[in-house]
Amino acid sequence: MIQLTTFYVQDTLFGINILQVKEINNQMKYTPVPDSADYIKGLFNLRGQIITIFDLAKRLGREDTMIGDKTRNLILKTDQETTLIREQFDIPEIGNDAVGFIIDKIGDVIEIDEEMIQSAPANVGDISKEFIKGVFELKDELLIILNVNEAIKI
Amino acid sequence: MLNENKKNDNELNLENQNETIRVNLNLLDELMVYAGELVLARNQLMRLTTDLIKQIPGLSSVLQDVNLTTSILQEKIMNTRMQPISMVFSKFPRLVRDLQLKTNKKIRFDTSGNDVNLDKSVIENLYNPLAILVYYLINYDLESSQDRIKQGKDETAHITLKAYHEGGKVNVDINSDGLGLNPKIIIKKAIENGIISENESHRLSKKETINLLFTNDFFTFNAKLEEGDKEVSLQEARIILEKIGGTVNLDSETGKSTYINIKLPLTLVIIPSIIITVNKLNFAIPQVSLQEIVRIRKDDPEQKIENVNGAPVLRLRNKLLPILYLWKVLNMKEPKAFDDTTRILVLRHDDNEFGLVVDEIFDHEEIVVKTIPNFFKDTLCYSGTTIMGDGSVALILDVNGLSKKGKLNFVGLKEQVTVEESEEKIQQDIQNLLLFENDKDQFFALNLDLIKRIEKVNTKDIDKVGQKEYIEHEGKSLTVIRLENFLPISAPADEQENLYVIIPKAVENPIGIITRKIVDSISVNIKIDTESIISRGLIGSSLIDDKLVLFPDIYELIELAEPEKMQLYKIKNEKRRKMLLVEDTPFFRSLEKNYFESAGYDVEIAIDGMDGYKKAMSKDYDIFVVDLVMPRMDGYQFIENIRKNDKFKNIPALALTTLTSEESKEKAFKAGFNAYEIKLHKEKLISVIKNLLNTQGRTE
Repeated sequence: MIQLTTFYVQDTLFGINILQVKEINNQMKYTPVPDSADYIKGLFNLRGQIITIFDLAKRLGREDTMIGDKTRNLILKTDQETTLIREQFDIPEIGNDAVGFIIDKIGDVIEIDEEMIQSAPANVGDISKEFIKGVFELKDELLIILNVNEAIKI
Repeated sequence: MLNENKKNDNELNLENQNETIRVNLNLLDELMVYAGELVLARNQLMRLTTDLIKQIPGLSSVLQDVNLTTSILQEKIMNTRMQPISMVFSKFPRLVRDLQLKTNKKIRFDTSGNDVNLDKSVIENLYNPLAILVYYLINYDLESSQDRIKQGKDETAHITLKAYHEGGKVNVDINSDGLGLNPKIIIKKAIENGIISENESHRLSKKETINLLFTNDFFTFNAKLEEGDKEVSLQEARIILEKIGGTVNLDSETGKSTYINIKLPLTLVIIPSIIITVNKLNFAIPQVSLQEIVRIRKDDPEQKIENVNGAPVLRLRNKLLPILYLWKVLNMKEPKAFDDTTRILVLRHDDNEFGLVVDEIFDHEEIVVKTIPNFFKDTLCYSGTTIMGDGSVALILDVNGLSKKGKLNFVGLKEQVTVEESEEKIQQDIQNLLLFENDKDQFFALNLDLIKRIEKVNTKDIDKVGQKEYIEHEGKSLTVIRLENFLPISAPADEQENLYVIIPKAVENPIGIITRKIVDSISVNIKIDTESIISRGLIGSSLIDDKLVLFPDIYELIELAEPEKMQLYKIKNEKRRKMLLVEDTPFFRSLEKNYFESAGYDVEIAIDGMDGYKKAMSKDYDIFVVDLVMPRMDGYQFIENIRKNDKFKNIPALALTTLTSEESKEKAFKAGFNAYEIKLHKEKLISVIKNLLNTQGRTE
């Protein structure tokens, strides 16, 4: 069994291994980085650590995320922070720069059977294959397990 | 190897052998981060509680305690990363001993400044470059004992390694009294190796020539470094030093000595910077790159950003400074001007200077450098990130990257640098020229030093009165001339709408020279041929890039055009007064020098009272302008010493200060100053100096 943190980018439901998530917050004051990729929202200071925030919607080819009441930052653990658990729980290496995603709404934490995860079809709606690590059919919607490495690729 | 080092350290630190423990560096780094966070929290706390101080008795003193303790804590944690330079120096006696045996040369080796502290990351990278330099000196600079005796030198050669603080940096000097360097041989070898061309070689000053040793793989040899024997070059030493934020300079007296100066930052973690904004976004720029700040008011007739070959430049004293707009380099939207001042940071990288236009310039701040995430490496523009006082993130700009990204071309705009160097260059016939075209393929050149500015005018703006033509310039009418009316050349075939007017410098009532096209500004080594083409108003001609270029003689042209105005120019030139400016702060120094030079004084600079005193003793000056607070000898002492000498009794002296108290004013007059002025009041300063010189002239 595997625990996933789920979240919405507009009305698409995504999931990430909960062990890879460092924290979720609503600090929306970013320092934009001029002349960088347009899907990078900016930087912010999390207790002395500089976090690069990616606009996931934009990265997936949609419009910029509009900041509202439910908008959150989902911050991931760096390789350094996952050193001890990476192998055991099959967590991908993402580098040592702290990153996070700006997302529209946080969902529930769900527990699923890894066996039930299906490999990515050609694409899911407007989301192309490389961003999809797998899909899982919930009762009334489809959960896309995000390929984090692709999402933070420059 | 490790044990040996340890033993050496112990030898040196016997007197202050405190108890020590090993601490993981990561832990120290984390402590630094948290101390930084504590500082931010403290700042917020102070802000939030200002209103409560009156209501809660005792709060104020508690807050002060928190404030102070936080600062001390941060400083102490910072200090844990500092290590004495003796950790590096202590390895050298052994190295020198080994080399002494190998080369059979007698060497005395001294170190000093062993207790100078540097950041661990700097210390760790210092051994190799220093070792390369010492290897070089012993193997190639020092003569054999026999040769030394023949030359009348002491049989034992002397090498010193000296560390000291200067100007917020740690300096390491390496001196040796060996052969020194011969610029001629270096040039010959550089040309042979294809590092420079024959043509380029004429443009180099002695110092530039010597420092060629640090370029390319000019000179390779074997040296034993930390990782063992290796083929190295002096360039390698320079590269490592630059990586740790340092610079290296070589100088030499041929036949006598070699002198290497290395400047290192105290720490790489905390750097002094200046905070600027564009579109309300904060950026930090390392102070080391900042030369000066120039503010230009919109209606300032003296200074403005001009276009040369479609690229913006600023005429700053004798230089053409290429200009970059930060918003453009960073692909941001154009900022709205919020006042009528353009703010320009003059930045320097290697030997190239450029101006960076920004919106706002804030204070100097010591910032803690954090690495730049890999996602932004491609943009070239950023070298790091930092956290500001309010907790927000700011990007640190990479000066080198900006100039690369802005595609600055420095070749045509090579500066004319300091007086000494330019004198040297005049002898070599290096000229900085403005190349312009009056008609197609009809080229002219003027020395940039003679040019005040270049105006773009429309044909419609040129008024014709009788034979003469005028344009409106700075609210006055300016006589303009066309070269074809005075020189044996053909007039342009057709009339062009947009023309340029070149306005020469150092003329009381200037005239403008009309031309059709500004081609380039170039720095070339030329010989002017004064025989092939002879005419009044012409110095001569020369071939530049296979084109025939004519050199007009501005002053003869003025004489031809307006004979009565020539008189004035000559008088003004003779009356230039000599000023000794004694000022220790580089920022004020360049600013004040600029003021006074623009007001027509010959300004010589002294960097403190002592330097000023020496200069005053050896030369004649018409006026002294002196900063009060300075190291070594302050302004009061300076003037007291000066006034002791009868020769200087009547030379006017102005005290420049930021101190406004009556007390210091009184003290200044008592010490022997004739006037006392606050820095930075340009107009006031200039009028006071003018008065001083006038009254003093009468009493004499």
